Amino acid sequence: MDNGASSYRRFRENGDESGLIEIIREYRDGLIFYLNTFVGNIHIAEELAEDTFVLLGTKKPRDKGKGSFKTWLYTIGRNLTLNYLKKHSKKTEISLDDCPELISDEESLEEAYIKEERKITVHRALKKLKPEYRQVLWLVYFEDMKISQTAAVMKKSVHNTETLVYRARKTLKSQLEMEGFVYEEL
Amino acid sequence: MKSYDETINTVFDRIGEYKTAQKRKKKIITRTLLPVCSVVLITVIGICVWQSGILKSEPPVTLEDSTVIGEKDYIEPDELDNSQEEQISSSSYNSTSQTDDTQPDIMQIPGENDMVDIIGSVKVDGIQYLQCSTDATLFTADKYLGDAKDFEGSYKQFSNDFNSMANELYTVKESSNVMMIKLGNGGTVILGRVGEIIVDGKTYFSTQWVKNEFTVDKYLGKAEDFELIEVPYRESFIVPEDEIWTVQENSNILFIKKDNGDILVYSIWE
Repeated sequence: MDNGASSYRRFRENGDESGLIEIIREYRDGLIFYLNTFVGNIHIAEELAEDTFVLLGTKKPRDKGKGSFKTWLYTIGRNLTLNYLKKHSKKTEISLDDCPELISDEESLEEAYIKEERKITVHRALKKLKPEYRQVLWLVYFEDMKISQTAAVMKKSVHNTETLVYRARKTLKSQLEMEGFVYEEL
Repeated sequence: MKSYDETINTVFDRIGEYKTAQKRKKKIITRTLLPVCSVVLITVIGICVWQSGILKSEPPVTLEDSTVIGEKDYIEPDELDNSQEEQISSSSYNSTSQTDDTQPDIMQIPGENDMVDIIGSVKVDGIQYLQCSTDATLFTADKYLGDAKDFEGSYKQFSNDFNSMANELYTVKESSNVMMIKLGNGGTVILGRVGEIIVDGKTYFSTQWVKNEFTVDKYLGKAEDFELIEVPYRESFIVPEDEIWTVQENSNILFIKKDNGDILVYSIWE
């Protein structure tokens, strides 16, 4: 599978369902974590990730091939999430602390997807940052996206994204230091 | 959190539901559109047919259009006997015979024996007058000439219909080319002299014949050199400056050539 593009082409052009299954297995968890940086609720993020795959299966949008498949997929997920947030902006948000089920689900997914203990600590520290910082750091440090790809997903210029990464990293570092951690990769 | 398999199942279930909903929508649209399109199509065709006038029935021939005012509103076909119907079929301006021959027929004047319509007509001192639709109030009766039944024309021919009525024939003060008949039923008929120009004693009138069927022959002079028949309120196509030409094919036909080169074909009454 070449980053999902050929799997999607197989599904889109030949109706090969295994193509979409491969995409779901490959990108589901990362997409959920990314969308979680917007909504702050792992279950909603999961539903939105599901919506993203359903959209691929129903509307079958054409990947223009400008960037990687992952960038394109995350952009679709981001757009769906922003629409969701517009519709639900007036609804009361549930605090993570008030819902232990959410926390345990997220933690188990963290262990499965992120694996490294150090990175899990960083990921938890991300939650205390503002959403924009969370998003950009997730894409750069956890999804290993280049600045240009991150900029494409977030619909910002490369320069803006670089600035955002710098500020987000600085804030995260202070946050970790406050909690007694030293993370040299930041 | 769902497992991968659960997510995959949910995604494909939702895709299936979407496809089913789309199919249902298509069915509904097809079911709705087909009758709607049929109705629209039928309506459009109906409007086209109606606009083209195919369905319109022929209005009855009214006396206002043709003959003596006031007697009847229309003519029943049964009222014409066989001989009259035959006369109709050999009408004075018979387009069928015209197409059969290379040379068009000369227009036949409605006379005592060949009156084919009941347009009012009288012949006074050898001059034929035909009913015209001009407003009768524009003319004033002058000299009483007698009962119209005593003159050749439709009033004599159909005298049975007019037996009980006196139809008084008058000249009018306004023009020597106009006659007036005051009907016994109170109506008034105006009759204008037939033709527009007199050349060598023959009266010519305008036809719709095509000039290409004739070859221009001899120049006779300007229209002002001949007697023009002017009937008030009747349109005349000849002006004094027009040129009069004969044609090679028929001595009873003239060309009237206008200033701008247009040529009108004129024929005599016979």
